[in-house]
Amino acid sequence: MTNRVTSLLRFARRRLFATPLDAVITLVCCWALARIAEPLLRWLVIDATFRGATRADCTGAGACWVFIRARFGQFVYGFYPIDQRWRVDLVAVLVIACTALLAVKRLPHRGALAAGLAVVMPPLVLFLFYGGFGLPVVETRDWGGLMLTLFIAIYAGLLAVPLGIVLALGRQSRLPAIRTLAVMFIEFWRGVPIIAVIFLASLILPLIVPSGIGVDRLARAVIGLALVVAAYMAEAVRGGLQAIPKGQSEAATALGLRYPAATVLIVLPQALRIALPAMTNEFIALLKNTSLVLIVSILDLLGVAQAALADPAWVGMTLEAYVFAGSIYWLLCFALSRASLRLERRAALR
Amino acid sequence: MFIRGAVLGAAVMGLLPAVALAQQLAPSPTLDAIKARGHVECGVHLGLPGFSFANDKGEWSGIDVDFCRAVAAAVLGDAGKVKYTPTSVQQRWPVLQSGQVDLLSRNTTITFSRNASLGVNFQGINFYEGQTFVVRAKSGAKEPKDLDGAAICVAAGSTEEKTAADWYAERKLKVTIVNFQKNDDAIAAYDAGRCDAYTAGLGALAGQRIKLKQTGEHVIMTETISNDPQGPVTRQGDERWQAVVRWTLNGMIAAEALGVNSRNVDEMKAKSANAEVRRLLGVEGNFGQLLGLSDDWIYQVVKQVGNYGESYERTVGMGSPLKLARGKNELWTKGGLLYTPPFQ
Amino acid sequence: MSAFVYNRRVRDAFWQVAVWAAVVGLIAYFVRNASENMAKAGIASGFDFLGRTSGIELPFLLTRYTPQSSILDLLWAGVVNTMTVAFIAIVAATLLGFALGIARLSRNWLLSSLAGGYVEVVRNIPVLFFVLFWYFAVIAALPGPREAIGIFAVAFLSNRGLTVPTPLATGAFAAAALASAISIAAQFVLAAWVRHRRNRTGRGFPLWTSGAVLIAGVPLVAFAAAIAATPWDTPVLRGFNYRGGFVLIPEFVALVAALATYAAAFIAEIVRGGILAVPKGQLEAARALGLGPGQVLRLVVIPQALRVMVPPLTSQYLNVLKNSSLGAAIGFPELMNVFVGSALNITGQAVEIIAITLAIYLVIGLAVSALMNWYNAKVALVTQ
Repeated sequence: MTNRVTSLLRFARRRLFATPLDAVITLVCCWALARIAEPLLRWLVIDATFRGATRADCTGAGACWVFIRARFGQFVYGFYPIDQRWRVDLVAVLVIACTALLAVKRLPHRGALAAGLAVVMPPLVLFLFYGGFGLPVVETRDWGGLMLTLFIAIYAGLLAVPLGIVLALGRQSRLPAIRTLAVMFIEFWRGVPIIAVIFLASLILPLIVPSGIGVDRLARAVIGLALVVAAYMAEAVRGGLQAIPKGQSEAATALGLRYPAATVLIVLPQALRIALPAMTNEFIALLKNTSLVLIVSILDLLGVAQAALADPAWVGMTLEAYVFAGSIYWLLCFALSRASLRLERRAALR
Repeated sequence: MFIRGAVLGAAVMGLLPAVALAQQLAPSPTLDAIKARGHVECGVHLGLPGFSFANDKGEWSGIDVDFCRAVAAAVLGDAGKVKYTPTSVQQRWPVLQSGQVDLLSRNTTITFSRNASLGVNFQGINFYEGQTFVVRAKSGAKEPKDLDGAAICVAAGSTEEKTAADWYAERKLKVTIVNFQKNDDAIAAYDAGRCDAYTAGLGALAGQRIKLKQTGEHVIMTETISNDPQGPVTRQGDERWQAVVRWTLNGMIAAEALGVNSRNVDEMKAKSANAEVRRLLGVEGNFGQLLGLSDDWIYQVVKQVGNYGESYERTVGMGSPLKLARGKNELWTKGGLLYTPPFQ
Repeated sequence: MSAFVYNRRVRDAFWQVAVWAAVVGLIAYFVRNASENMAKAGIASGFDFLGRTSGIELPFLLTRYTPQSSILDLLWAGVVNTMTVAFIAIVAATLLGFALGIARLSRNWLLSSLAGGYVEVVRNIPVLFFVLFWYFAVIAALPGPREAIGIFAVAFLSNRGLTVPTPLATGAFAAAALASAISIAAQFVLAAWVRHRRNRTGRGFPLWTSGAVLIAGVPLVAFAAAIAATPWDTPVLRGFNYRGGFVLIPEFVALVAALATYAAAFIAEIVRGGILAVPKGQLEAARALGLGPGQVLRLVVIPQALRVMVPPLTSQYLNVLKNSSLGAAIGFPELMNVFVGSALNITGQAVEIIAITLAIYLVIGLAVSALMNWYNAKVALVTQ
């Protein structure tokens, strides 16, 4: 016990009060922390209302979490029909189960299984969400909330990764015309604001396809985001490609492999492993940027929160809605960034 | 012109079978598409109580939504067969132009330049709106000119933005106009104290005011600075579809003028001796077929949605939280501006 | 024949032509569809709309725009506002980011964990939340115009913004600016001469003192004199709000604050990474040469850290520029808001308007990149 106390004291002396300046800094930090934490805690917990059913139940000076409870279903599923929500739950269970399965390191044929799931899962999830073949159809306009946020991020990511790899290879190409094209594409999409791209996709896409062909509203937003993310993914993959010594592809060529085979079998697997942390970071950025789709009236998590604010029965819940939606984004992104950090450390150990 | 020609044709061919008549109809890709897909695609406001507003179950209501339902009843015989696309102020035109919606019923002001340059046509007036302001009661401002020096929150790119700028510039009064992407953002900023006033149409304000935290502390000015007739919008081209939309609205107004409502419509259909009522409800003549619809299309509209007055009272009038008097939106015979050409 | 097909140059040429032809063909196909669809829908096209009167009031102006100006002038006002916001936010983010990055490396546990906590919280939240949060926080924290906070009775802070006096004449300021420029140039010439002399004779010179006088002192006195000599338009509370003066609207303050505090979290990580990337041996060697802690930082650590930091800093600066488009969400009249918001609604010409907007962002972005690349080349050269 005394041991712990002395070590604590030693820590304080070394890391908090080493010099007079240090002591001043520490005290100022303590004061600032207290000034911020006290009202925050008051609003979030102490003075907040948790029980009840209507706005009238919120009598405290703090947050009215009743609002979040009343609207929770909508925050998660949007306007997805209540009797069909099991489909979304099923998808969640499936995705978690697959992730857990793949996390088992000793699993035989883990790589092949992952590749198989990557091929099978996206269409399966799409079918479960949308319906058809016996399941009642739920149109994309009824999708919303957290489910939609994750859907947009994951599907835009799935589109962006292959495109990004192609672009990165193009940018590293020996052929100047192809290199130029890749650079132009990448720099264009990296140079414009995402909210402008989402607008572009939602307004221009229907115009440039032959008349009579409709492009789903949600698909447009996903495509727009995917184009931007592909450009960023390309840069992440390029970092991985540059880290592969030239000798690798030269050796492959010497063994008689042509460019496509050498790239797919030798260079890419190594490059992608190195690029994985950077690609995860791009995915985090994508997840955060999905919040911008509300500009074209697609009700993702933030969009649903804003729509809920327009309800006259729950006026003045702005802060609650934003804090709740913001925390969910934060939790997801923070978890992912930790995962990315672990990947990075593991890559560094190799 | 088209209507008169069609009516003349109907008189001549009154006895011909409907099939022969259908072949004479001008092609209407929009109507064909609606019938093929089984629902009407309607562009509405993101959320304006009284006009178009979705509750927490995603069910839409409002006077603009009612009109979408009326069109669905007219075309498909079922007012429930509508799908709504909520649109922001900026999005509404591209959404209509690119064919994502069949019509826009979204408290949109009819203006010359929109008609001339956007490739759209306005199909009548379903709400006479007048722009005014909501202010804090304690500010003491009673009429628009008292707002000299005030900050005014408004949705970017709306007619209100331009009207207010013009109105104050003309009177050499200085106001600060703060533009937001959506009406909801603008009213939230007003509520937070960013602006002294929020401007919109009288009807829209009545709906928006209930979104304010302390509703009682705000007053809506009675003096308006503009006349903004609002109504459903379609793309240019496809004349037959345009006629369907136009005459659905006319039919709702005519039903009120003729005393036909959702409660007495069956009785009127069976017993009325009034020739116009009989034509309206499809007992006499084949007006519906002239447009490629069933003859009882207006009957379906009135039966399922109601006449104009019923829709008004239920959504924005005394039967609603907005409690707007009929005012200009009353039949011309009762001192309002509503008028419909005859069903002949 | 087969020799021809397997000839590497022939194959290379074939692939390049084929890929370009496919891309150009695809674009041509899109353009054709678009013009067909637009003609069919009866949508006006072309750039004539730029000459039309806009009729829109803007709450924040740095150009001579009025509602009677053309849409082209409206566009320019938006561009200037975007660049102003982005520039100020970039400067503020850099300062804040450096401070945070250094705080994260502090020996003081509390300070470094607070800085680390800030970075972790901010980096994982969408920037849109940040902009909205700042906006409502700024408005909620400030009083109404009648209870405005006066600053020396000339500037007033309220939820309508910071109202500051504006000069009615600018002659004195031009003179002051000229005097300052000459004085600052003199310091640089002096510094060059001192370096030259030190290399030759080894004699030092109190450059810091001369710098304080020439870079800070002279301009300060010159501008103080100019302020005193100029007639001012001072804001006065009348009716709803202050009249006269220039208003820094809360949207501006909120947008700059949001962009700066958001980017600062990312810049802090870049700074930390840059400093950690300098090998320890460099520090030890510098100390062994007898350099003081300040000199070690200035002459050894920062030049080498900068080399690592400049490329990621560039992309953060570009992010600030692009994120300034979120001003549209809080009603700040930047490019996106006035052009894709208001102008699009007046004209309905989505294709032209979005094309112009994207082009402008690209041009500004390329200019920033070029500037940073030039700086990067300079930093890289210095350390060789």
